[in-house]
Amino acid sequence: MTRVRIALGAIEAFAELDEVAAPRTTAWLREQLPIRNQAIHSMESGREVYALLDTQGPIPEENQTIYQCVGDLFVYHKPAIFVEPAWPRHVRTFLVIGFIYARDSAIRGMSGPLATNIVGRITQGMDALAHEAPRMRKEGFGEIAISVL
Amino acid sequence: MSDQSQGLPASPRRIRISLPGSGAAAVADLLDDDCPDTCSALWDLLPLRLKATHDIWSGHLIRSHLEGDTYLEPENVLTYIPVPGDVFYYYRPARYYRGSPYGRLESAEIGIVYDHDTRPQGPRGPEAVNLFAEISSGLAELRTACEAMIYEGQKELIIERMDDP
Repeated sequence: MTRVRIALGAIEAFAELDEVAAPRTTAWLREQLPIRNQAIHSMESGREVYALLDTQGPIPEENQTIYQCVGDLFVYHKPAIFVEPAWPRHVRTFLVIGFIYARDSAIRGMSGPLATNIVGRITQGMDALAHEAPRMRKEGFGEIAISVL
Repeated sequence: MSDQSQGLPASPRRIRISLPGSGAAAVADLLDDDCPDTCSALWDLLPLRLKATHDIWSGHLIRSHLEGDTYLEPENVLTYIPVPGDVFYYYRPARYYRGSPYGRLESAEIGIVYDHDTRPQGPRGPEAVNLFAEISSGLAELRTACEAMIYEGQKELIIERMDDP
């Protein structure tokens, strides 16, 4: 099982990739790691933090759900309007990797729930993420780094 | 019968909405005809100096908590899908949501919609809000400053009277 480190601001957490349920997506993701990018708080889905990936995929429709849980690590195409303040009209979506850090959140698109590929679970440091994300929301967001251990 | 003979101002009361850290300022007209009690209650609170935070549920809007006893009866609560420039009041009663979001058991808020594709909502879904003002100028500058809050965090928000009728 592949373990990854998630560094957000001043804290770190660890996740395990679900290579059984999402073999193709996790294999693809491993090729993308490590990533280091601007962390962004969701403006439409609740308590979600995400980062842009430097590719548009493609990723398969695999291990998808609209019922994300706290600690789920997922990738999906987020509608461009929720990513870029000045929406580039020729771009419809951005491929992102993100996680939910508190309950009562659900990934949304323009017209309702959006299915995401669950690629892993955060197994350590969830409380730290749940503390750091709201802090950064008030004080300003920094970087997120995700790497294979 | 003129508006003035009915005790209403002939021209809309106006408020200035500014984010001093960014230099952005906009002017909004109060919707006295649609929600006179709300407009008067909020007018009486001005000037307000608040902390504004970007919303995480609703799209392109920022919001600020009002301090103290600021419960207002529902009035002009018709809008599920506001448009850019709409300014609304929203009250969340105690224990309406799980826990105490933002450290508050209950909350009275002012929201400012700065771009399209926005729908006020929370963990339980879409919420209708009390629309009480519309921005008439300065929205473009405000939009830029509001967008930046996603990355830069909360900012000071000042709402003040433009003029007395």
